[in-house]
Amino acid sequence: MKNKIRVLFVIALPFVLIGFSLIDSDKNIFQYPTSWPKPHYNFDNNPLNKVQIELGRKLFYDPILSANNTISCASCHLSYTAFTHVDHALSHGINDSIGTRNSPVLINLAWNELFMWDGAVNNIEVQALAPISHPAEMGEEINHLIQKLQKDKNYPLRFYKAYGDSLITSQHILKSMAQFQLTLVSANAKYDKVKRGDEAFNPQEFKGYELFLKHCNSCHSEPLFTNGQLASNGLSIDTNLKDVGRFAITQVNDDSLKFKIPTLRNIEFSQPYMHDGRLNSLSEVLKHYASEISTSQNLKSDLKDNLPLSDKDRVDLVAFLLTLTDKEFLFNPNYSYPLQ
Amino acid sequence: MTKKEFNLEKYIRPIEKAFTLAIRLILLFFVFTQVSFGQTAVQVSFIPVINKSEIELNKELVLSDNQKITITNLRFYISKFQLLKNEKVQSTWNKEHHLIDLKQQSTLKWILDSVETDFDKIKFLLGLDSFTNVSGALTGDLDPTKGMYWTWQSGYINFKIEGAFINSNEGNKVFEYHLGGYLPPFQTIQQISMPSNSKNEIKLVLDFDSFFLSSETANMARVMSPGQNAQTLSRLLVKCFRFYEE
Repeated sequence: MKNKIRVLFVIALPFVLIGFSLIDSDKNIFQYPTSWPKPHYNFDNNPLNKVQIELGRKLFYDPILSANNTISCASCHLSYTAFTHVDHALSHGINDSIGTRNSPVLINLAWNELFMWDGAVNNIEVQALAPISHPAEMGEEINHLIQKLQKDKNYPLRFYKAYGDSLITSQHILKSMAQFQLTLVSANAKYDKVKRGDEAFNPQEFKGYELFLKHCNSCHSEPLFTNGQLASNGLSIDTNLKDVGRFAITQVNDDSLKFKIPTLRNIEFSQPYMHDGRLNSLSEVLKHYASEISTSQNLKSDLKDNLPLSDKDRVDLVAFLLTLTDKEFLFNPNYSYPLQ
Repeated sequence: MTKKEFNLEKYIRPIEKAFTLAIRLILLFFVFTQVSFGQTAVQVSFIPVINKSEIELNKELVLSDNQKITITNLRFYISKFQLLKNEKVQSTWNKEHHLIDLKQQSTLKWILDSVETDFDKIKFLLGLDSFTNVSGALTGDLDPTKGMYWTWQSGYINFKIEGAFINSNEGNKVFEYHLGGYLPPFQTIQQISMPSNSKNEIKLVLDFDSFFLSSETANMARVMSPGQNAQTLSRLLVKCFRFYEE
């Protein structure tokens, strides 16, 4: 009898070990088309996990992150408008104070190397520190935020469930918020369906796509519709805001007036456009590239001359840009305000 | 039935034996690595001073040109603390990044366990390398709650010193230096390397006299972001280190 147990033990051991390695129900949380490049984010240091994502989502939608509990991330990053502050050129934060930039969309962030319009942030995990601490955004301080969360009646238990520890740390706050934002993948627009062969562009969209490949794709490169770089796109400097872009971060002259090239996915819903939200419609944006480029030292070489886009070309281009709208992304119930 | 069980015994035994042997070998390995010859414990300590007087926060101190000064905050990172012999690394402190904070005296000294007695040089980095600066949300001494992380842009403050020049006629002249930045061309991390004869104790003096008497600090009371100024001042710090002399 004793031997039988020992036999069973030795035989079962490898199966148990293999079994444990296969238990990974979180594996399917993060999916993207096989034709896409690999994400820039290293998931090994912060493997996605449903409970941790849900905690990050709670924090994302909770105004407790701001000094006077009035502003949440979602105040300026609304899920139904591709996570940006629609109709606001410059986003406003705590006590009606106003910032100097247009809140960017939160789409396919796992492929981003740099964050913020000037690329000031180098890792999605530390991005949240910027708006939390900014006096015109949330005006909070990380140590004080930890104290508030620790005293809250729900958060210690939520952190316990997510990390096995009810003692709240900056790392657990930041990593869970990163997890939620990493799940914001948009890959099912009409464009994607066309690429998969499930749908087809109409003639106008196709004409627009050809123009896009010729004039736009070098910066707003497929399939993410950004090449992740920073560039000067010929906007004249706003004399009130005096925003020099990347230069303020690096103090390198070659970076003056450079801003991050944003993704064009869901562009239909993320107006106004540009880092300071100065353009209100896609037709204004295309008019800028076709006739209003102002020259400066670091102007992107492809834009040295205005882009040769006729009135009709611009209409066709807009038709194509609308195929980048991903309704499934915009109305994904996993992304919206967490109930309960 | 009995015969069958006896046969199986023949297959299980070797597996069990191999397993026990492996555990014994692992234990032996641990015992051996703990006890080896020619090793000792070395105490390392940092002593921040201004012109021979040890810095106490908020205390009045005097620079060598008789200017009065007070320090209200002093914190900095050191990384990869190593002992070398003939340019070969003998021992590396297992704590890769360490935050020294004058408010917490315990951070100013530590013991290097079981290091090679035979070393002729110490080497460490003043600040944090670029890999650490892009590694996201970290803990311990690297936790962004420690007041050494910029929030509006990614990156650590390598060296923070705050205080004032005391001047009874014109009022105090406050200075704040938050020195950091990892992006080229304005990296601020510095390598410190000093020949050492000491065997059981390494006492490092960090004397700010030359730092505060330099024309560079005289011309800027505040440096709070990466760039040329942060790099210039960080380089001045290298010359502030020396060994303690009785």
